[in-house]
Amino acid sequence: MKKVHPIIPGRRCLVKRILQAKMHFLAKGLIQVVHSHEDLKRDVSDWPEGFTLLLDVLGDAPRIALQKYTDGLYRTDPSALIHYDLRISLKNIAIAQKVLSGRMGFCRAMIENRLVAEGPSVYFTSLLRCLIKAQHILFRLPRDERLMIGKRNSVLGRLKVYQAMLFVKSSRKEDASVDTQVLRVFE
Amino acid sequence: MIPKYYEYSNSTKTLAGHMALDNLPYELKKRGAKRPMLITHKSGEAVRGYRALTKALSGTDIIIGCLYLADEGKAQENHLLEVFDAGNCDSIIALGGLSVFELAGRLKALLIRERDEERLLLGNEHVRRGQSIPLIAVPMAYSGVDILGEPELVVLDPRMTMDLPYKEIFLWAVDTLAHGIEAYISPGKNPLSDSFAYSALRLVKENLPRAMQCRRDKKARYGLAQAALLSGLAYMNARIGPVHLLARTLGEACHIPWKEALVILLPHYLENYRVQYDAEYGELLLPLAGPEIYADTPSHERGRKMIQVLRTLPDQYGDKYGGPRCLSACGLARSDIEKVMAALLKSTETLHLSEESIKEDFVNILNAAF
Repeated sequence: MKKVHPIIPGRRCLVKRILQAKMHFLAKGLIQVVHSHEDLKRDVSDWPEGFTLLLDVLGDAPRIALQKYTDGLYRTDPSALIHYDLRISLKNIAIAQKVLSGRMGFCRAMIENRLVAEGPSVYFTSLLRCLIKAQHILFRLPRDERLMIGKRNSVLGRLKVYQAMLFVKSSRKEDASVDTQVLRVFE
Repeated sequence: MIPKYYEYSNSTKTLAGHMALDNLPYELKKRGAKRPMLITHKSGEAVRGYRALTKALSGTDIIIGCLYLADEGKAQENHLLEVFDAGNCDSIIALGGLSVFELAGRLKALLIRERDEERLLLGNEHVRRGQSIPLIAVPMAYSGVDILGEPELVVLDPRMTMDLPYKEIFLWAVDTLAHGIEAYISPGKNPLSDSFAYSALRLVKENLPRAMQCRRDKKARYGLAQAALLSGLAYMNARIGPVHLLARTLGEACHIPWKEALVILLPHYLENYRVQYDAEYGELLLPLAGPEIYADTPSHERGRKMIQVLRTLPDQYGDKYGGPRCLSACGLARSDIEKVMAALLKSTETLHLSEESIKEDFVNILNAAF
């Protein structure tokens, strides 16, 4: 048998670490934006109690999980998660870098088929609306995407959200490992 | 005109545009592949393409099972299979041009045949049904025009459109035009291949002047690469191309650069069949020359005008192209025409043409282009 040597591409550990940090930033921002915007709060209140969503990058890349409680969204530990209700996966690291730093909006990413969604489409639409809004507030999106969203966003408003993100409690560790699907069955 | 019956097959998914290559790991995984075999050729551009590819695959659990460098004319079928098995590969990535796509297509055919034989021996329940080998084509520069073997996926990334010399850009553009025109006038034409061919011609018209003005213009290069892919897809389904056949035979029999021969032969070939295809030529004037010229030309003159536009192309870019304008300048002798005719008659691609038409029409075209 002929001997051949496989080529193992790099692992990109540093890039993944940076992505993890960016994901946490987005998650915190999303929680805060949902907390402070009435229309988004209304959207999220339609989700069932304990609704879990996962945002990740396909492959061996970072991910975050969020869970819905009566008083809003909270972060949970994705590794302890047994079940998720909705999953949004960005197809590759390069796109994740762009989306999570606000150089590409979720709206464009969806149009260009850069993300995959798994779960009920009703909740996907409202989650996407929340993500687009959060991204619009947290970052200065490219001009065409800002035009697509339509609403103007002031720097002062952005700074207010950043300030609130520093002090807001974003995780409820005591319930992190509970399987929400099981709970819902008992309900 | 819509044919009474036609078949159009295109199972190829296309990923095109900004960071298209980065989606390759996702597409591979979706097809259950984790160890692709990479087939490419030895060249500076291929190295650059290889770097972009490995960067796109990094950070994922995909490993390139083995790397095979296509050495033109020396590829042994058994050797290919041996390398594929030794690397424990499950898919094929073809990165490069025509020779690479040919080799990858041949390997895929071999593997499918081998699996079918295995299925026959073991019975259906032992081998997974419908198991196929994903073939992914990543064309470099403008080689989308040469895509063969209906790959499952074509990845067209602007990073792969290389910084070629002006002469090469021009030759590729004419090759794209020839593919598009041949698909548009071939007997196997249909509304789907027509739309591909038409778009390809329009893209060449829009992007060639910019690419010839500044070869570093990325948008123009990418536009030409798109045009090449479209005309390749059109040609795949209506694949009877006498002018390509003639140019390639000239290249093989008389050692003339076949792309230069194509630039010379194309207008003469079209002129030879103008009575037959005048309406189609007239339709192609719009994407080739633009709406102003199309509107200014009377309908019965449009076919002739289209040929004229093609004829003036080498002069339009004369200072940057600098290629020969007739076959004798390429080094063809009158006595070589006999040799070319003999080679054409032996070719399997001329089976649909009568011996008389080959002798008459092709000799006329060669004489006119001499």
